[in-house]
Order: sequence, then structure tokens, then C-alpha cells
Amino acid sequence: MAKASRTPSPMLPLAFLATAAVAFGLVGVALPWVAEDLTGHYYHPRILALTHTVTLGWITLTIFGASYQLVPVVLERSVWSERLGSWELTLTGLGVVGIVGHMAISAWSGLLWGAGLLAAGVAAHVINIALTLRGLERWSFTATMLAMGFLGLVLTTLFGAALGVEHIRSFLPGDFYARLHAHVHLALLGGVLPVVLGVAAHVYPMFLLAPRPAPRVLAIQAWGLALGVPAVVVGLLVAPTLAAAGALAVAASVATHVVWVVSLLRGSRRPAFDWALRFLVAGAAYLAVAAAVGAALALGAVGGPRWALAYGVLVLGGWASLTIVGMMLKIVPFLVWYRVYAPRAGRLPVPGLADLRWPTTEAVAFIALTGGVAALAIAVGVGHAAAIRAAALIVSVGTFAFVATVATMLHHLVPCPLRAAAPVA
Amino acid sequence: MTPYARAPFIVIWETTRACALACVHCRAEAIPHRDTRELTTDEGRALIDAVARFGNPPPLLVFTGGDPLRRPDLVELVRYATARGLSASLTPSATGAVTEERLRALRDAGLARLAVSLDGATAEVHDAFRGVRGSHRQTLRILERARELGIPLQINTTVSRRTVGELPALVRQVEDSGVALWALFFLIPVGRAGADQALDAGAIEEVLEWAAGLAGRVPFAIKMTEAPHFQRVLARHRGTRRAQPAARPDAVGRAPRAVTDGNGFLFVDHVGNICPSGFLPLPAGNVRAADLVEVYRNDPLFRALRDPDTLTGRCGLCEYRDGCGGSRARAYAASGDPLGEDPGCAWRPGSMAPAVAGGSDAAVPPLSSPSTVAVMPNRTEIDAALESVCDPELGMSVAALGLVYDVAITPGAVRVTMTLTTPGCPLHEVMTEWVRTALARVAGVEHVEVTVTFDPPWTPERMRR
Repeated sequence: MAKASRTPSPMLPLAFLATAAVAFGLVGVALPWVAEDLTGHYYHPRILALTHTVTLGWITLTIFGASYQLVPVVLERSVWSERLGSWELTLTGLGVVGIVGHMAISAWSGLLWGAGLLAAGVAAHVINIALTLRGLERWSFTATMLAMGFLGLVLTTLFGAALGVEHIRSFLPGDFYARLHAHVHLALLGGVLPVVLGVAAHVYPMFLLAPRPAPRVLAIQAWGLALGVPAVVVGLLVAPTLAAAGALAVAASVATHVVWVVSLLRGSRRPAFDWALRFLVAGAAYLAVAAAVGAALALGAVGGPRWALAYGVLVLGGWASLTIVGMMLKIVPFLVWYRVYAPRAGRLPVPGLADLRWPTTEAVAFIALTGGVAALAIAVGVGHAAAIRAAALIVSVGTFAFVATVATMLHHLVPCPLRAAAPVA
Repeated sequence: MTPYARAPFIVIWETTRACALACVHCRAEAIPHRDTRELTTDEGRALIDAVARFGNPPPLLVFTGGDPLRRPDLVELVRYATARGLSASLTPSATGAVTEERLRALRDAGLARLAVSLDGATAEVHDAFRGVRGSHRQTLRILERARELGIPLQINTTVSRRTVGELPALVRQVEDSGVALWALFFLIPVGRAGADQALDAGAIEEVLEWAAGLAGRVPFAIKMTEAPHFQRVLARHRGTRRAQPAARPDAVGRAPRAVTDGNGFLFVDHVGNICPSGFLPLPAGNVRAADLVEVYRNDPLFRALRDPDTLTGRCGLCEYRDGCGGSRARAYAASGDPLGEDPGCAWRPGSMAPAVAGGSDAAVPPLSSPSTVAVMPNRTEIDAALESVCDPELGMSVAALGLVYDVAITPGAVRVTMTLTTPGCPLHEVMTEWVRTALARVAGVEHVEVTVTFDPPWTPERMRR
């Protein structure tokens, strides 16, 4: 019953993930510089540039790269074209640079070529994944959520491109900020959240050596997003009441996910938790807090740009970033091990994945990122400039420690005679 | 379908045809100087990259010649291959060029095995066969130095009319040399090798019967080249007696079925031509212009060589054709048809008996057949082997994780039924191959079968407390 290899070259997902890690490092470099801007309104060119470095350079590239590692093994399908994947990285990478660069200097007309390249990159990814999943007979929860997430990313890209054109020639109806909020929530709830929930359902039990989720747990998560996200997005554009109802549906989905993660932790048979798992748990905790703040914003319990900024920090810096860091600390060493050491397994002594990691920098990253993001959310919430600068510096230290950790893992890809000439078992 | 449809078990690269020896049987028709058309160092690296692209587990890579030590970039190439995850072996000519310094450099570069030729138990026979006086002495010197340096060893012996009588006497020398594998190459009339030196079917059958019995009594494995019907002989030996491959372990694995020309075997000559084997010199492309993986997988010649339904003559009718397939090189040498019947096989399909039951040419010296004993692999050693296979992410053995559902042990064989923590486990192939490799090293295990099932699915409750 052995299966033919469906695993693509580990270098393709690694190229995406390494590029994403570089983007995260750049966020760490930029954050202290824009700390002053975070005391003001969130609709500021440099904050927009920073936000899109996170959402496109860090989050989207990670999702694309991880999907090239996960889709073949989780859904047991061979990637349709690895070459298209390489082109996609080039297009998306250049597109992100174009968008972020032009946003930072408020050059809206130049933004469009960046958006065009990004759209081409997203289209390449969606086409590649669609053709990979073509003919899939059994749509598991993970497959369904990935499809939902990629649909969300496509719609977000089109929506974002329309907002870019709007800067040059006004053509969209309705309120400007309503469109902006809809764009943000379409990206996070429609694009990122389904992918995270879908992947988590498959890999968390594997990581934690715990039972797989019950069907009803998955159903609540899926239906919560399927009904809630369109309601939130459309509601933000035209009917606030609908947005509130949608937010409750999304909150139900998130709450179910968080409760499930807690039950996994209780039932885990894993002997010891590494830093990657701690990041994943911290990400889930931030998700719970962010969902509560988001629901409060939707229901009108709180409001204003300061709460909105704090909410953005909790979502992007807390839930999304910590979860991605945790995933990367699992995926990157695995891919490196698979590329370098798997061919020798059984023939020569090979290290375990733990031997590829650098626990000290992982610990520094964990403390700085979890603590720094919380401090930053509070600081931007109250608008205290000195506190924002201090928190931003802590977060930056965390991003640098994470990048150093990833670099430590990646250096195993460099051919080394000493590693190659390991003693015969 | 053959397990070698996607990747060969072994890739042989004829790095050069330059050689100081003048062997009477030389397949390569070696020449004193290097051919200017040889693959360059960069082209060699590209070839190694192409071999690595076959996937996991990668094929074994053998640097052969001519004399591969005539290439000044050999150590660099071995290091590069090792760094790409390949298990690199070397077959140097027994000359003064094999110095301790070069052996040390090769070992440090990651050389997985050194194979040297020993064709006679005495210097007189060996040197006459190799065409250079002192070759036998050089061979023994290389074996001794390599052993001192801890390089896993293999001895190759060409089986021809001239050398077949030396085989019983060679057994003791091979054993004393501490080698992991004794490879018997049955002479194919190609290159300088004449048809008059090749054994006939009866003589080959006798050698195979002798070797099948011998395998249970010696501490090294025995492999046949261009005699895949050894599988048939071994199969007939099973049940009443079993050979014990108590080979010394090294970094080079063993093939799960007969490796034949183009079916598990791939040869690249010194100018880059891609052939099914060195004994079947039918180029299907050149690595300078064609993709090695593509040629191996999809070239019509290679596909035909792997398809037992294309075979004709007795091979096409044979009940062992899926696991044997006959020597395609011998068929080609005899008839010009690489898919024709192997004239070196004595088997009559459907008769349950060889056509020539041990009856060989009068000119071929008889072989003594040592008795054999049945060997059952030790359960404790099997369990220890399973404990050595660890999930790299969790750092726990497959046994501790409760992934092993059943272990069935029979004389010479182990069948493992196991699972993985999830059907989409990315380590599916790595773990099963790792289990297979670990079990193949247990004394008495000739055949390993690993079956993966998800019925019932794994749950954490199966973990050892």
C-alpha cells in the first residue's frame, strides 16, 4: 500500500517561507520607525505600508509556501506545477515590494503596477492549487477550508486593487472607511482564518499527539465562517446590523476552535512542549482575545481609531503572527530535515528535528513577541508614544530572534563535508 | 509494477575510460589516457544533481571507470554526491594510485563503500586476468588499508571460464578481508570480453546453486550481476533451507528484487550517454542534452526493459519473470534483441526444474556445495531494530509510538504491518523505508515487507506508557 511520492521539492515551500521570514524581519526593522505614527490614526501611509508588509509579505507568502508543503501530503495530491510556483513567488514578491514601497511614499499611481504583479502572483497560486485539487473526490474539512481561504484571498486582492484604483479615479459607492474595514475583514476572516483553522485541524493533533476533532466541532467552525464572513463584509459595507450578526457567527467559530485547542492540550500525550507549540497556544489565546474585541467593536460596545488599532495589533501581531511563527518552527526544520537528512535515514546517523533548532533564540522570540505584542496593543490603545516605542522595540527583538532561528535551520541546507561524512551506523 | 519504475536502485557513472590495467575481459575497453570528451567537473555535479532528483530514497551512486582515480576531481565529486544525500561508492583499479592519502581523503569526503576486484585466489590467476603483474598484491594492499581506515568494503569477482574454478578458494579470502558484500559479475561478451569466456547456462546454474548454499554460512552478503535468476534459485531454496545474509552492515542498502539492465540499474558512460547498463550499451540519450530522470522513467527502451510482458522466448513465458526478467545484456549479446530470452538461464518455464540440472561444460571446474542451515531472525533483534527507527519530530521510536501493529517472522523474512499518526503524514515514505532498512540489517533477514495501513487508525492510546 505504499504510495508514490507526492511531496514536491522542499525548496519550493522553503523559498516562500524564507522570503516571508525576511518580510517579518523587515517589520521588526520598521516598527520602531513608525512608532510615532501609531499614536495617530490608522489610515496613515506608513502604517498602511507596515500593515501590508505583514499581511502580504509575511502572512500571505507563508500561506502560499505552507500550502505547497501541506496540500500534497494532507490532501494526497501532487502539485500541478512547481515551476508555476517559482514564478508565483517572483510575481508576488515583486508585487509586495511595489505595493508597500508606493504606499510608504503615498505614490498611489505607482501602486497599481505592484497590485497588478500581486494579482498575477495570487492568480498563479490559485490556479496551481485549483488544478492540484481538480478531481478531488473527498472534500475534507481541511480541503474545504483551504478552498474557502484561497477564494477569500482572491476576493481580497480584487477588493484591494479596486481600492487602489479608487485613489486615482473615484468610482466606488459608499463610505470610504466602511470599504476599508470590509477589505481588512475579508482578508483576515475570509482569507487567513479559514486556512489557519483548516490546517490546524489536521496538524495540531499530529503535533500534540491528541485525538482528532469531532465532526461537529469542525462543522461549527466551517459554518460559522461560511455564514459569518459574508455577513460581516457585506454588513460593514451596507448594513451594520448584519455585520454584528456575522461577527457573532465568526465568534462562535473562533470560540469552538479555541475550546478545541484547549481540549487538545488537556488530552495531549506529547512528553514535552517545544517553543513552536507554545507559540501555537499563544496564538490561539490571542485569537480569543482579538475575537472578543472584534465582537465588541461590531456590536458597538467600544469604538474609535484607538480601539481599532489595538484590535489590528492583536489580530496581526498576536493571533496571526504567533500562529505563523509556531507553524514555521515546525515546518521549516521538517523541510530542511527532509531535504538534507531524510535520504540518509536508516543508512547513517541523522539528527532529529530538535537538533536543527536554536532553543535560546526561540525562547527570546517567544517572550519578546508574546509580551511585546500585548504591550503594543495596550500602548496603541491608550496612544502613549513612549510606551508604543518601548513595546515596538520589544517586538522588534522578537522578530530578529525568530529570523535568527530560521537562519540557523536553513544553514543546514549548505553542503558541509562534516555533516555528509557522518560516521557509519 | 516493478518497484524501479520511478527510480533505479543503483546508478553507475563511468567517470573515465583511462586505466593502467589491461584486463582481458574489460567491458569499457579502457585506454591509457583520458578521453577529452569526458564529462567535466561541472557536468559531473549536474549529473549528481540529476541522480538526487530521483527522490527518496535516492539511488546508490557508483563511480567506476576505467579507473576513476585517474580523475583529479574525484574526491570533490564524492564529497558533492554525499552532500546531496547520495550514498557514493567507488570501484578503483588496483594500482599504485590508490594511496593511503587518497583513501583517507575519499573517506573524509563521505565515501560509503570501496569495491575492488579480486578474480583469483592466487596472484598467478588474478594477474593473468588483469593483464598486469602485481595487481593481486596491490588489491590485497588496498583492502588492508581501506579496512584500517574504516571504509566499508566490497569485493567484485568476474565469473568466467578462466576464474570460476577460483571461487571456492576465494571464499576464505573474501571472509578474511572483512567485506560487506561479495559481488559476482557473470561475464557478458561485450567490449574485450569474448563469448568463449562466458559460462553456459548449466555452469551458471551450478554457480548460483553453490552461492545460494554458501550465503547461509558466511558473514557477508552475496550479490549477482547479470544473473538475476539467482532470485529464482533463492526462491527454490526457501522452505527447506535458507541462506543467512549475516553481512556486516554499512551505509549501502540492498535491493529488494533483482536489479537488471534498465530495471533498477542505470549506467552513464564517460561521455554522458545514458544506457540501461554498462553491459547493454544502447544509449537512450545523453546527460548533456537530456534529463536523466526523464530518460530513465519514460524512454521506450527503458520502459520495455521494465515491462515483463515485452519479454520473448523462455523469459516471456517464465513464472519468475516479474522478479527476475533475465539478463537483458546477455540476451542482447547473444541475439541482438535486448528483450529476447536469456541464454544464460537453464530454467524451463512451467517445468519446476532446470533444463540443465547442474550439468555444465566439461571444461568448467566443479564447485563444492557446502551444506546450509535454516535461520530464523531473532525476535529481540527485530524489536531492537524497530526501536532504532525514530520519528524525527517527536523523537520517539515507531514502537514506542504504537505505530507497529504486527510483526510476522518466518525463516529469512519479516513482514511488518504498521501505521502512521495520520494518513497525510509527510514522513510516509521515509518512515517505511527506514523500517525496511533497519530490519534488513538484522541477521537472517533476507526479505522485508512493510505494509502501511490506516485500519484501524492510530490513536494516542496506542502509545507505550
